[in-house]
This record gives sequence, structure tokens and C-alpha cells, in this order.
Amino acid sequence: MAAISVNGVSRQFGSFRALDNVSIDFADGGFYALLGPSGSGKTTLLRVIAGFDFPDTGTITIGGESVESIPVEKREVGLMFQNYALFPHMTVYDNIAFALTVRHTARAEIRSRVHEVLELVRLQGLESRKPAELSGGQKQRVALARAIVFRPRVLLLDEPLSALDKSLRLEMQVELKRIQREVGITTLLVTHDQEEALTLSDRIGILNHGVLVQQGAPLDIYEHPATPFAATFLGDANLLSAQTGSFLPGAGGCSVRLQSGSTIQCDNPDVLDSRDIVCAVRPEKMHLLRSDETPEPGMNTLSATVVRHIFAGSSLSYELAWHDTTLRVFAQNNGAPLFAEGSPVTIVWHPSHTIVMNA
Amino acid sequence: MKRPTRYLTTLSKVYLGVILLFLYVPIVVMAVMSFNASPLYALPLELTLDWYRALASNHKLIDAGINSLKLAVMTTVIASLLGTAAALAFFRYEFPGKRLLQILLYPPIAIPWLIIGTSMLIFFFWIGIGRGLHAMLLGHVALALPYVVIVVSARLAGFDRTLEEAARSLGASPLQVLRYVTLPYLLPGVVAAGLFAFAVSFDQFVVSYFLAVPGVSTLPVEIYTAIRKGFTPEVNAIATLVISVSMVLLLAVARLYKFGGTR
Repeated sequence: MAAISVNGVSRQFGSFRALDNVSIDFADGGFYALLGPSGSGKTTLLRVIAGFDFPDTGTITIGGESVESIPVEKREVGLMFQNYALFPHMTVYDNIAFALTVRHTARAEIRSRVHEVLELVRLQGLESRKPAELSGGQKQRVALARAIVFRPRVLLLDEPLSALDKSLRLEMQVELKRIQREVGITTLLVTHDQEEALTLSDRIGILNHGVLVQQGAPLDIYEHPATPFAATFLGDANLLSAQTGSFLPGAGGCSVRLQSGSTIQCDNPDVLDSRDIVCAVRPEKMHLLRSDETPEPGMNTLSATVVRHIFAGSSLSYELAWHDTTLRVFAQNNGAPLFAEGSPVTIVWHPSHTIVMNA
Repeated sequence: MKRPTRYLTTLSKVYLGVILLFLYVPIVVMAVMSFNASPLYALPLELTLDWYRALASNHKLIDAGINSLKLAVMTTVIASLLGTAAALAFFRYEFPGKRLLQILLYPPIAIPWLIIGTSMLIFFFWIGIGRGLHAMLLGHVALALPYVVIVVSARLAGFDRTLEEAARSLGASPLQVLRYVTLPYLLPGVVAAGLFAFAVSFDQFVVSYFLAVPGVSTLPVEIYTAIRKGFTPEVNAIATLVISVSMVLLLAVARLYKFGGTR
């Protein structure tokens, strides 16, 4: 088990900048998610840490030890691939035992270690099967067992659940989390699935165009995204552009004049550069009132028109026209009457739910 | 709706039957005649093993057969090793001239053997290699190499490189990756390529004919010489033996690796 430290790492492929001066620390025993769209550099970062690729500039340490001159096979890094990469000509047992076999571990020791991890991933009895005879979820477990049997210092997961169907994916998320807790290994998960990142990890790093946009605990990033990209990539957000120079910090709160002319309140005073401001509000933080109802005092309000509502069983989502933008509002299906399409409404939210970001 | 397809099915069955007939009837006739006492293919059949007995004392044919086997085995081993290494290099690395080298692999398959044989003879004399078994070995390996590279490359094309990465991340050295992951995957391809190499060498007449020295020749060259001098059913006998052995070999390999079937 070991901490990983990435310092100022850049990687260029021709004219494509895959990683741009990325610095991030992964503490010992934590579960981290690297989240980003495809081409954001998250897989490149994983490959650089694993040793399949090398940074043009910057350093990487694992457990305090610089790894530049250490080849993949000596880095003691467990890897799980998107397509599992199980050896097709070997049985489950031989696949899992591989890392120990190439290390010339004693046979009895191999046997006991393999059975230990088989128990951990709950695959006892399948030792003599070939990968082709396994289901997707079972392959997944074999890949995980194979990656941890040699007690690597860190575990790297490259979109490990994306090939599974939804229900199996949820089940495997729970399993993965349980096994990671039991083993206590520093784990790095690369994913484009925000839900997976939020449920599995203790910390999330968001990458875009090779740049680390923001890192922090899932709740922190969700409630306080630092950029419009972070706000929209992790969860849904209604973006409201502000007039330049209209951000007015004051005692106990601040106000922003939007480009539409309306002024909204917020209590988010930690934006330093007040020049170009974008506000965001999460759709579930907003609620709707009939236009003739009076909102509670002190709330932000915008007048809009319902374009359509989408019914999803336990919840509803409204699309609303406000000036020339479309806003989304989520509502629980709690028996309140639906707002008809075309009806005028007031969008209401608390000032503390206004996220203020530099554009 | 159904009738045309039924006609077509019948037609294709007949077509297949005719093909098999023309392929195998001559071979069967030859095999049967190798047991016939009459050297003039007279019927009715009179069973005898005379031709096989005659063959056993025909040292020229036997020596040629041994030469052919030696050459074919050595060609198979050398061409398989070199060709597999070349295919791996083409698959793994980018290097200047790679495309050119890959393209240059194909013409030797299309160039008539007669021309290759002539040019090899001239070239080998010019640089002092001359003729003989060693020259034939060089020639056979050169002829077989493109087949090996192409067959092994075809197998490699379906190889998932993350398997090698997985193996390395699990602590395998490059050599261990080759031994435990890449080669086991490649083996059916290498065996098929080896069969090609064996066949190219064992069947080789033209190039061997040019590179043989009097007294040291291969089976195809010797059979040709024997036929020219006057046909004896001994040739039927040795051909029958050769075909039986290669059939058994091929069937064994096909069974082992399920060529063409699911893997």
C-alpha cells in the first residue's frame, strides 16, 4: 500500500496535449476517481502511473519513491482493464496465480493466496474454468482477484465496469467498494461515469483537455464546483451568465446582475476575481410556484414558462423557457399537481444554492 | 420460393462431388496400382507388395527421400523461427522501411519458381555458395519465409495487446510475457505456418532441380528423373507412402487446433 504523487506531469502526442501540467496526490488507502470525458487525459494519466507511458515533464512517486526508471513489471501496480484482459488459454486459477508464478513463488504459497482472493471475490469453485466459460460479472471478479493477489502497492482500474449491464454494474460497484475497504489498497478509478465516481470514491479529480479542473470530496465538488465544466460534467446545472462587473460582495451575502437584467442573491463570497462571473443552480435545488403565488421573502425568483414536463415515476423534470435559455427543474412526485405545458411559473431557490464561478 | 434454392443446393452438391472426384480419384488409382502386380495397370487387380519391396532396395529414391525430409524439417524450423520473429517485429514496432519490407514479402509468392530457381542458381554461383543441400536449404527457407510471416501475422492481427500489458503489470518480464502469453496465443498460427513451410520445401521441385548436384537430390527431383527414365510402379509406392504420412500429419494437426472452427 502506498501513496501516489503526481507532480507537474505533461504528456504530448504530436500536437495533442494529453496531460497539461497535472499535479495530484493520492493518499495511502484512499479510493480516488479520475473523471472526465473521452480525450480528457484520464487514461493517459493512469498509463503514466502504471508505467506504460512516460511523462514528457514532471515526476511521479509511488510510496515516496520516484518511479521514472522502474519498468511496469517492477512497479508493483495492480491493473484492471476495461475488457478484463484475462488470458484466454489459462484457467481461472492460472490467471489469478500468474503474478505469483512469474515471481517463482512456492507452489503451496500460491495455492493458499489464490484461494484467499477467490474467497474475497466470492468465486470459489470456478478455479478450473476458462475465461470463455465465465459470465461478464465473473470475468470482472477474476480480473480483480488477479490484480490484487500479489499485494500490489496500488490498484489502478480503467473503466472496469463499463462493459457490464446496469444492474450488474451497480452490484459490482458495491463489491468493488467492499473489497477495496477489506484490502485497504490505494485505488485509482478512471471513469467517464459521474454516478460511478460519486458512489465509489472518497475523492474525485475532474480532468478536461488534459487539465486537472478540480479535485475534492464528491460532496464538495458537487455542491461547490469550481468551473462551469465541473458543474455540468458532474451532475446537472442551470448556468446563468452574469453581466460583467455586476458581482457585488456585501455584508452577509452578495448580489449578481444576470445578463437578462434580473438580480439574484448568493452567499458565496470566496470568488476572488469578480470580472467574469457565471452562476449555476442545480435543478433539484429549484422549485416551482404558480405565477400568482408569493414566494417566501429572501428567496431568488425568476419568471419562466413551462415548455414540457418529463415524467420518470418517482420524479419529474421540467423544461422551462426563461428569456432565450432553457432551464431544468427536478421535482419529487409527491402528489402536487403538475404544471401544464405553457403555464407561467416562478422558479424559486435559496440564495445559498447559487453557485458563483469564474467563467 | 423453395424450388430454386433446392435446385441450387443439389447443383452445389454435384459440383462439390465432381471437384472431390477429380482431386482424389487419381490419387486413389495410384495408391491402388501400387499394390497391383501388373506394371501396366492391367486389371483385374492382383495384390502384391513387390513394388514396396523393390522400393526398399532402391537406394537412390530412399536417399532422396531422406534428403527431402531433412531439408523440409530444417526449413520448417528455421523459417518458422525467423518468420515468427519477423511477424512479431512487424506487429509491435514502427521502424523506417517497415511498409516497404512488408510489401516486398508478397512478390516471391507470385514470381514463378522457375525464375526464382534460375536467379538463385546464378546468384549462388556468383557469391560462391554454389549448389548442393546447403544451397537448397537457403533457397527453401527463402521461399517459405513469406508464407510463415503472412500466416503468423494473420493470427497476430486478432491479438489483444492489453493481454501483454496485463501480463507486464502482473510482474512478467518481456521474456516471460512472450513465453506465457504471446507464444501460447500464437502457437496455432505458428504450427499452421510450419506446415506451409514444410509443404513448400517437401513439394519443391523447380528450385531443388536447379540447386541439386548429381548424386544428391530430393524426392521430387528423383521421382521426376525416374519417370523420365521409364515409369515403374515403385514411384506409385513411394507416392502412396508420402501421401499417407502427410495425410495423417495434417489430420492430427487439424484435430489438435480445430482449423477453421471455433477456438
